Amino acid sequence: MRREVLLNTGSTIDEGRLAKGGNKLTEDYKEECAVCEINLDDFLALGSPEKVKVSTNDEKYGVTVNAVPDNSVMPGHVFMPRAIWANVVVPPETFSTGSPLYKGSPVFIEPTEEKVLSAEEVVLKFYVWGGR
Amino acid sequence: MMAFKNIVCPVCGASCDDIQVELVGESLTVKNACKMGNAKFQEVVSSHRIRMPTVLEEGVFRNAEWNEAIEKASEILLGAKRPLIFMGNETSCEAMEVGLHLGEYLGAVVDSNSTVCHGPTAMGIQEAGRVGSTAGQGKQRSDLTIYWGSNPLESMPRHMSRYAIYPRGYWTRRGRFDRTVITVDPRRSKTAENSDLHLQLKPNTDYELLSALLTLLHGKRPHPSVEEVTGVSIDQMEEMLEMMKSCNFGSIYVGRGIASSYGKHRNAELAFNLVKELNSHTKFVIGALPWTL
Repeated sequence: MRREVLLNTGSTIDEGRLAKGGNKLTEDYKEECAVCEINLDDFLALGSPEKVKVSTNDEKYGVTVNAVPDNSVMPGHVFMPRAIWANVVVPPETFSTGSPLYKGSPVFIEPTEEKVLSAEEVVLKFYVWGGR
Repeated sequence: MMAFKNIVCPVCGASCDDIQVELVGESLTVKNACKMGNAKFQEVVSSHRIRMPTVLEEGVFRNAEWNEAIEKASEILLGAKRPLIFMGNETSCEAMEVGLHLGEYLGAVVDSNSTVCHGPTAMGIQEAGRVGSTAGQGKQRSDLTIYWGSNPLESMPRHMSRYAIYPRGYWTRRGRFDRTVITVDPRRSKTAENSDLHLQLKPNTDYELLSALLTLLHGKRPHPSVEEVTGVSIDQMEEMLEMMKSCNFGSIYVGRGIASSYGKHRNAELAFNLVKELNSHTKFVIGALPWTL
C-alpha cells in the first residue's frame, strides 16, 4: 500500500534546540527528527503504521522514519522536521537558485518494518555508500 | 564568577541583544535566550566543544598548536587552484568581511548559508526591490502582521514576544490586543494556531495566491479557478485584502515557505511587488524570516 503525497519540511523548536546544542548524533535528535507527520485520514488508510518509508518519486532514494498522525497537515501532505532524514528525499532541483525544493515535492509513503537509522548510519549509507 | 550582559545571540537571525551569561566554573547560566539560543551558548562549556585544532597525518588526527594549524591552513589555501569559502550563518558580520577579503585575495569563490536558505528571497529583492523597516518600527507601529510561509514560534521563538506581536508599542499600546495576525501556510503550524486568520493554501500555490491578491487590489476579480488551484476561497482572499488595506501599518514576514517551494524567487518577487502596491493604500513593509533572512 503506497500513497503519493507532497512533502513539507521545516523547523521544529526541539530540532533547533538539539541541532544548535551540537546533539545531532543523539537518540533525542533521532526521536525528534526521524518522523513523518501524516494526516489522520491518510494514516488510517495506510493501516496506522508505526513506521513509514518515504521515497523520492523516482524511487531512487528512500528513508524509514516513525509515522505520527497529525492533523496540522492536510490530507495528501506530510511534514518532516528538517534534518538528515528529510534531506535523503528532498529533491536536488533548485530552479537555478541554488536552493533545493525543501517544500512541496512529491514523495511516496508506505508502511515498512525496516529499522529507523541513526543520523550516523544515514551518513554512512547515503553519503559514503551512495544509498546501498 | 564571570557575568556578561547584552550579548547578541548568533542563532536565528533575530539578533536578540539582551542575552545575559553567567559562568561559574564549568557551569553556564543563560538568561533571556530561547531554547535554541540557550543550547548554543551551552556549547561554550560542552564536552564536545573543539578546544584545539587537529591536523590529519597519515590518516590519523592529532592535536596541534594554533600557529601550526594556521600555517597548515594557509598552505592548503595557497595550493588550491579555485578554493570555495562557504561561510556559516552563525558568524559575525566582521568575520564575514574578513572572509570576503580572504576570498578576494585568493581568487576564491565565496558563498554563504543563504544559498541553501533565503537565497531565492534575496534574488526576489534584486528583481523587485523591497519596502522594509527596522524591527523597532514594526514593534512601535505595526497593527497588522502577516506570517507568510514562516513559523516563528518554532524557528524564531522570540519574534512574536519581543519584536512583533506581544510587545506594547507607541502606537500599539495594548500589545497583542492592538494587532491583528494573519498566517499563510499549508500547515496548521503553532503560529497559525495563534493567529486571527489562517489561510491554509495548497503547497506550491503561493504565486497564484499572491497574483489573485494583486488582481483584487487592482479592483478586478480573479478567475474562479484560483479557488481550486490554491484551496483558498476568493471571499477569504477579499477578507484578507480588506484587512491589509485598512490597517495603519502592515508587516509581512515571508519565510522559507515561499523560497523553498515551486516558484522560488518569483514568489518572493511577487510578494515584494504586492507590498509596493499596497503602499498606495496604507503603509506596508516586508521582511524575510527566519534564520539568515
